[in-house]
Amino acid sequence: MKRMIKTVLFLSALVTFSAMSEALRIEITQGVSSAQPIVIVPFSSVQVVGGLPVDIAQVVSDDLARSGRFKSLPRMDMLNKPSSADQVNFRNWQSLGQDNLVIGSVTPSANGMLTVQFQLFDVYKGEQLTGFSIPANRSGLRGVAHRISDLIYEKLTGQKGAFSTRMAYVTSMPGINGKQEYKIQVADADGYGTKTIVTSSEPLMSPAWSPRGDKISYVSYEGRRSSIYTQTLRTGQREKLRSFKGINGAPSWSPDGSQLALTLSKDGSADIYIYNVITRSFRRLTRSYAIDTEPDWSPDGRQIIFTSDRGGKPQIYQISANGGQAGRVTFEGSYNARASYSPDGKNIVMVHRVNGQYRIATLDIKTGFSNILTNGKLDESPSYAPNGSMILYSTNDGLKSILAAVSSDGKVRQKLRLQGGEVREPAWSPFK
Amino acid sequence: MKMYKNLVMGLLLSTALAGCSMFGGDDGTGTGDGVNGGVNGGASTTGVGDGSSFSGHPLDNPSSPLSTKVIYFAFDSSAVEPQYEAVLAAHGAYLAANAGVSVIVEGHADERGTREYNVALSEKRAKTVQNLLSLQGAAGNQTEAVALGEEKPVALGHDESAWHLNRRVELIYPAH
Amino acid sequence: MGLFKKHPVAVILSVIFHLALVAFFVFGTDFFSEKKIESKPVVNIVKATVIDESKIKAEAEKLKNLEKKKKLQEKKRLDDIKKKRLAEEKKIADLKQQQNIQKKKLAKQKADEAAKQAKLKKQKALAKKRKAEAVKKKKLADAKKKKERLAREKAEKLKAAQEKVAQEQRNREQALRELAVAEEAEMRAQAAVASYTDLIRQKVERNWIQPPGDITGLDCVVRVRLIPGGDVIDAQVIKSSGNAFFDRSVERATRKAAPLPLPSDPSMFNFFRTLEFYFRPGG
Repeated sequence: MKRMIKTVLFLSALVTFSAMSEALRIEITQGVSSAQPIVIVPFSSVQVVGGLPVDIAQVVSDDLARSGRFKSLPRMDMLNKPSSADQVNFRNWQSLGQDNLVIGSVTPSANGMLTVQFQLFDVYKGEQLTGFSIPANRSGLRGVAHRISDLIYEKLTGQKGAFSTRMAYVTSMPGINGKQEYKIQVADADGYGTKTIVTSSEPLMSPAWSPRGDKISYVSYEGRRSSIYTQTLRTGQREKLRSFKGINGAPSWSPDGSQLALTLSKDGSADIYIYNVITRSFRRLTRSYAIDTEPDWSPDGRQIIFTSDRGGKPQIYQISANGGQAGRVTFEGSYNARASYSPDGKNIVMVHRVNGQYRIATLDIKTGFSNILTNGKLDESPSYAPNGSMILYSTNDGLKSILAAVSSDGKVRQKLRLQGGEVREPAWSPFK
Repeated sequence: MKMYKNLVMGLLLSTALAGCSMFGGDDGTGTGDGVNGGVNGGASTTGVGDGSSFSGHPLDNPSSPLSTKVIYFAFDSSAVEPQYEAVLAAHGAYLAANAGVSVIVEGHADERGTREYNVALSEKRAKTVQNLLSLQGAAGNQTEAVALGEEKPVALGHDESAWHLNRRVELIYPAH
Repeated sequence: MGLFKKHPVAVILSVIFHLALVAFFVFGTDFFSEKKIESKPVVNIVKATVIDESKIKAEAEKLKNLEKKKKLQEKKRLDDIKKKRLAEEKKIADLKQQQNIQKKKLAKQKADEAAKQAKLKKQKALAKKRKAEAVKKKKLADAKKKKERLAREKAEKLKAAQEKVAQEQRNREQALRELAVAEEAEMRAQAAVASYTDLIRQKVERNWIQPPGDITGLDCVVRVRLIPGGDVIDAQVIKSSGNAFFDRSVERATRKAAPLPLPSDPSMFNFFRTLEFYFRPGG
């Protein structure tokens, strides 16, 4: 009897199953963490007399690849090079496994100006995602290309792009007279358009952008003692902050641009002080016999994190910008220093020593979850991109110090090749 | 070590030859010497009496602890090691005896760790040396502690043999 | 008395019957003799005869004679009476004897009767017995017959049942064979579905570029419609994760993975006509 029932049930199930043209359920629990394939077809510019000084598609392609989130198709692999929508055959790009397609063109407009137009397509859906028409002049084409990279990046990731930003950094190399020459330089986020803003025969350190990106503060050892300068980029004019005996260092701008946190040792050991930019007065923030240095402001301007060895070894502490008791933030490892907040205030990035090696690590403030992003021996000076997606830092390639970038989740790392000489202490500018 | 000494000697000599005359006051602190040196900073005169044939500035006398002007430190430490106590005692005494002489006590650190923290660490070293000098009688205005952090290494390697040389305090006397 | 209350009718009847029985035994011989002997209790009536004149002389004589006669008669009467009495006695004796005889007869009859009855009874009993026996025998026979019949029936039933069972067995076996065949086909189909599902899953996973950032906890369902050969004719997000970029990445993964691997047997296509992908990173 039992058997019979079983039979009946089975048969009915069979019937149901085959009669069920219902969906077959498939569970997907993982994918690949790799860059999105994208093809950026060279923009056509046939109508522009004299050609273009900038290969826009190449700039965009390099930008997106540098972010670590995209993988650009090499030009030699492109089957054809459409520059308008009617020339696009999605099947071609599907067969190349390219998820995204960008085509564009540059045409002359009135008064010697140019119009740069581009379209972004979803290859597998066969539809346009976005398209823009941007006016430009010949000298501004690079900036337009970066703007296009921002627009594409935002459309495909939902995050604001940081391709139109800049970075400041310190270089050190033998000068003409054989003496070491130090410079602070500012370049586009892709390393182009390098400009030197200050040169010195004595060390330069700790460049720090003002919140609007119009000034850079830094430490200079000209006169063989440290002092802090604030220089306006556009004019090159600079102002020296009042210097004290001992250390004058580690300047950090408040988010509203009204104050600078910095390190002074005039009262004994290195401590954090707050400098009011308007009144030019100093206020002492920390008082300890230990070393307190390397301050950084929280995005809401209320907290300051800093390095302190008051517990014996360097660790990260936090204190209200108005003063008070400092509380310890890092508890893993015996060396944590030079911390700074992510733009959304949720994480801090710092230098963390593990097994004698100095690496870049992030710490989630809420969960306490920490993540080591790099694997060098002497990684330092981390600086967040203003969209929080990447971190610039200094590392050593075995020969000299260079700059590198790592995605904030640690998955993609890239070295930046800038120029000869030692390159270090990168500072990512805010959004323009 | 030898190379370094030569370098320092060379630098000091060339400074001397360049005619720098920031040196003020007497020279000749050798024992039993009755010497007065050139006030205008030219060549320095000799002192006789202790049998040494050195005829240069006491700070440059190779058999004097004063010729040692760099003190090295252990990793992450600002404690002066016993072997340098005599050197600092000598410098301290020298300063005490030469009120017009001032010295820059320049602290350094090796490249490991963050740059601004290393500035503060090198300052601790400089200040330790500075304290020892004043214990020996140097006046406050004779010494100035300056912290250079890791910014001016003397050795460019990335291992202990280089780092060891960079963890130092230099006593920088004006040219004499 | 309780018995009376319980079964009043029975008790009354019982009493009546007992009384009847008593009556019967008391008066009962008549009952039996009613058939054969018509006699009732004999009442002898003496009839006296009158003499006439000559009687008178006759009467006197007669009287004398009568007297004599009377004497004689008396004697006779007495004798008669004696005789009668004797006869009576004899009669009575006879009667008695007869009665005895009758009694005996009766008794005998009774006995006979009884015997007869007994015999009858016996016979009856015998008959009854015989009957009973016959009945019994019959019963037995019947029973036997019945038994046999039952046995036969049983046997037949059994046979039928066995037959039925055998038939059922055959049917079952048949069904099982068919089932086995179907099962096997089903299992093959399921195995094929399972293995192709795995292939499809792997291909989609290979083609799914996860958006950056923390995506654990997000889940999205994409319904995909295929045509034979595995090409995707439609892919739609039917349950959004709330994150547009996550949704887009999973939809794209399903499109990009086309053509999806399908078994070459076209009859299997139905299983794969519509797929629902549940994207849930981290499981």
